Amino acid sequence: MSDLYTAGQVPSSYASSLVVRVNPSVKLGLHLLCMLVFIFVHDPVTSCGLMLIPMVLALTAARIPVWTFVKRMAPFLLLFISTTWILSAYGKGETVLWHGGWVTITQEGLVKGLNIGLRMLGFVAYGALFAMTTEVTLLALSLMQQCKLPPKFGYALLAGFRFLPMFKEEYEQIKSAHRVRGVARVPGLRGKLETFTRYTIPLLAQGIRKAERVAIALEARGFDGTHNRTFYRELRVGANDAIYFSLLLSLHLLVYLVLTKFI
Amino acid sequence: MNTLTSKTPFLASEGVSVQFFDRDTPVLREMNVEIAKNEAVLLLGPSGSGKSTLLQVLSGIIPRSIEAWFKGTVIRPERVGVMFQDPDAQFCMLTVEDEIAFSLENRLVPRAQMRGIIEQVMRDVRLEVPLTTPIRELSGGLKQRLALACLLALEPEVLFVDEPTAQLDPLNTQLVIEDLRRLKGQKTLVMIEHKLDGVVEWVDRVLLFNATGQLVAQGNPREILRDHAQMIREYGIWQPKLWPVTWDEMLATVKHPLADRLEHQLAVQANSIGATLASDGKLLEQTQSDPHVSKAPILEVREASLRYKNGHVVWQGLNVSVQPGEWVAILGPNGAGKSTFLKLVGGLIEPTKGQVQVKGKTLSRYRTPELYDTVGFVFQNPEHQFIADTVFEEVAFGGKVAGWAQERIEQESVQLLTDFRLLDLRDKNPFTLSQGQKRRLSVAGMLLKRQEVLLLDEPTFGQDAATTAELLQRMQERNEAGTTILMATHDVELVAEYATRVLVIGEGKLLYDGRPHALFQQPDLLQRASLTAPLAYEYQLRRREQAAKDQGGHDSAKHEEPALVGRNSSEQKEGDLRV
Repeated sequence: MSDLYTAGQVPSSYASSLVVRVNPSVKLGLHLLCMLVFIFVHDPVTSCGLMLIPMVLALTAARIPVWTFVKRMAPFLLLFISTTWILSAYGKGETVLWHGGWVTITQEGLVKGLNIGLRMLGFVAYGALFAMTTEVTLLALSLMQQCKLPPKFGYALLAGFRFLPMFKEEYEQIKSAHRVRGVARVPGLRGKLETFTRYTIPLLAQGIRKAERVAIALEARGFDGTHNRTFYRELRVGANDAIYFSLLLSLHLLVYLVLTKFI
Repeated sequence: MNTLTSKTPFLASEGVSVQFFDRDTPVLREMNVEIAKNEAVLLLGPSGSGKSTLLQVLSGIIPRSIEAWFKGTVIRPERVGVMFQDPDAQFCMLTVEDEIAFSLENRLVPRAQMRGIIEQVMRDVRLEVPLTTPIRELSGGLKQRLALACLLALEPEVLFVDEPTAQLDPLNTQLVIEDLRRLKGQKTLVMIEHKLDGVVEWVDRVLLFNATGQLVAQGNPREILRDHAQMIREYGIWQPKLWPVTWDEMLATVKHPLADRLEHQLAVQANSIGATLASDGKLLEQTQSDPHVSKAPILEVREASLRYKNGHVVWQGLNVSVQPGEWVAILGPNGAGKSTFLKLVGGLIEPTKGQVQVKGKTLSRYRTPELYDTVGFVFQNPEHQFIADTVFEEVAFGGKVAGWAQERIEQESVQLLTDFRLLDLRDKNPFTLSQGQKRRLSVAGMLLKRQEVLLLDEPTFGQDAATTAELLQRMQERNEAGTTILMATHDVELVAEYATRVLVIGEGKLLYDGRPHALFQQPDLLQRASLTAPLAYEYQLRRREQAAKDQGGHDSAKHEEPALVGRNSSEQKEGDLRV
């Protein structure tokens, strides 16, 4: 539960690092571009090199503690292994490396599997780096100020963010209440479906009511959803963003050079 | 000020009718109301009387944010602000400064001026926290003061408030009301407020509505409450406890009727403890000094501590032992962990340390159904409990699960529905009921199995006087029949009258465990726990202070205001209803 409360906030331990200070919209754009690069790469060695970039950045330019980052990435490692395994074990190919039972590992399959797996890991690493270094408030403000997102959506995003922990609490309450009342868990799909509707109705009822109240309260404070407003915090694109851009560019070049020169 | 003048009124509705699309009848019909600049007006009426609708019309929420069929003219100044009931549903930002800035941004205030205004409005509402404080870390009371700061940042000419204290503890209620009172004369105030104490004393005018949405009377509070006392009682509207009597008046008059009544209450409450002691040996005394009493407790909490993963300690080292048949009230400030304590006792959360026993058996050794045959739990939000499609099924559910015979289920469910005045609604869907009906149903649904222990989380919260009185009556019947009751509440009058014992949770520990009578004579402790004294005890305190003053002559202490706790009058109850 504590995770939900602090989601979208950067811990003070690395809040002053370079990656945190990059304009969120710029960061978002750059990360998406970097992910795009993966698409054009078809050998696992290059993918591996590219994948290391966000990881190195996370530990250096973002100063995220190693353990925090590893914990965040750990679940995806499992996904990496299973993706790689499935693709290499069942993928088509000529050169058989190993054979046993239904499983035939071919070189082509292994290459493809590793490549897709590493690509996915790279995507996830860029995503994690972004999520762990971006204040949700600044992201919303930057999307409104730099990308001209209508404030209607920007502030809805923020209000929705505040709702996450409330939903979780609400859900726990309903679960407890139903337990006290002796709602038996009917086994099987039908039981699951029944439980789902039982939880959903009160959750939705409460959620819609809260959302409506917030909307009314914000409109009553003069919010009209348009760009006709000033901003307390003005976000700009500046030196940090240029540095971050050059950093990413040089790291990509470095990977390219190392791979072409030495391998 | 009530006569219509030829010049344009400051704030008015002329021939306003409103009907919501899902209703068959209009909420307001041809409503004419006029409010002068800097006037403070209180809207009074039973639930469903359209007072909230009128406030929404006057403030422009209808038709801007809430769609409804609307006819008539509303005249209002350009800048208005509205304060709502739910502290969690009026913000969209994560920190205090961003939230106040949001108001300023909407008004196109230049960025350079914002910081100064933010600091100013925070001072105005005495919100003494760092600018970057996350809103989620504020208590309910502070959130409401932040809401007020956000409104003041709009520089409104009219301030509308719709029950802003409904979810607050007594002390915070008092603080919010004081903030509003300070604005009197500077802003026009249009208020809806259940807790009349602390409000009726200073508003200029009361508008009284009946159940069908008609304006029955308007005038100064004294006249309205006197001339329409009968109607107000019938509608179940909370009445002020003290007003129109003032402390000075009561203390100066020999044999003042209200003073007599309060003294009678004090005597009854002091004696009722004696009665409990007589019938129950020395148990109550013992529980205070030694939790391990000889007679088997029905409930025992030993050295219980709860600490969240993020390190936050809710409370620690709780030792509580409850005897069968006790009525235990749990008091404490918003967010002190009262509900969490009930959940601990109800086996819904595990303590980090320590253990809980029900009837001598550790909770973890109970099977779930077995535990909830013994312990019932009424949750704060009635909707959380609803599992059936009809009111009848909702009550009958427990019997069905337990496999009772059809006849028994039918008979006992109908009896409960009759007791709680829900029989006419038996085929309705629980979610479509009114607030009060939902509450009554949630309690009725929990009573079928006649559990020996009943845990209730603020059951009278947000209910009108009539529903509250009724709920308490039902619970008292159960208590007399032997049910042990543990109830979290903010209502000190209720505690003084019904509870045999009170636990005060605050500052992460058990601050008090003992008789209500003794608690309410400790102003310092009450203040520490954000509580106020019931009227009778406040009277007693003031009497003593006066006596001391008379004796002490020209002591310097004499000029001091009475203790903060003593001055309060923000609780909800009216003596008549209870005695």
